[in-house]
Amino acid sequence: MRYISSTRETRRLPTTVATTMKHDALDVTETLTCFARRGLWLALLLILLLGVYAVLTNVFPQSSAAHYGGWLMSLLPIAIVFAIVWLRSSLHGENANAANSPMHAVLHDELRQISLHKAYRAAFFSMLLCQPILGFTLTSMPLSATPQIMATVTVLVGACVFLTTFLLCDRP
Amino acid sequence: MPIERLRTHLKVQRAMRDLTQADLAAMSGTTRKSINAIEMGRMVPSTLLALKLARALNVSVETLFVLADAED
Repeated sequence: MRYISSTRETRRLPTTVATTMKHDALDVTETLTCFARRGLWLALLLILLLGVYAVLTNVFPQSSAAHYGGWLMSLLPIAIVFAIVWLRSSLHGENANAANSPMHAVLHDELRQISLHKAYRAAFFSMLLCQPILGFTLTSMPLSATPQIMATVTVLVGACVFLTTFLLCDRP
Repeated sequence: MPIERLRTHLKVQRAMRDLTQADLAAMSGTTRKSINAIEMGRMVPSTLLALKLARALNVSVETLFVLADAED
């Protein structure tokens, strides 16, 4: 069943209803895209804040913020797993029916897929590039948690580059 | 050496049926942005999307997309 009828079919309807139907179709996908982008901006901000906090706690492990934030950071992987499980369950099963075809169109849009691939490539090469930079930088600094700092910065750079590249490539 | 490029008649076929980009996007299960990118030549659709577009417009894929040889 098509989500919206063609223009010829909507011509049989009263003008206001036909116009409303066409505007509804446009509004739904555009609204979904707008919401998705807002969510990604929020995710980028959250990852940036948490990542910077994680790096600083590794650089200054004796600070009080590192002491209290340690248990909070240990909950982060659990929260990520819950978020992924919730997201996948919302995209499959009863929620992934014909009524959600605008959602399906937005998520499986080819232009969006191209932007995703560009973002994956950018993130991969940025993570590779920061390895020698971090290696040279951290060996010259008197830090105790060098492997942790290197891992945290690598993940932070990869995640931020991925989200930023995707948001730039997929902008309306 | 000739370089093969994709030439599209999607905009013409869409206009002949008095459809907007949003209408065609909804009929073919994609977004208006993708339709615009295909019409502007900035994106080459996959086989699946090309077939969906052709079915939505009730034409063959070759009517919508042709190879256009261009000299360097």
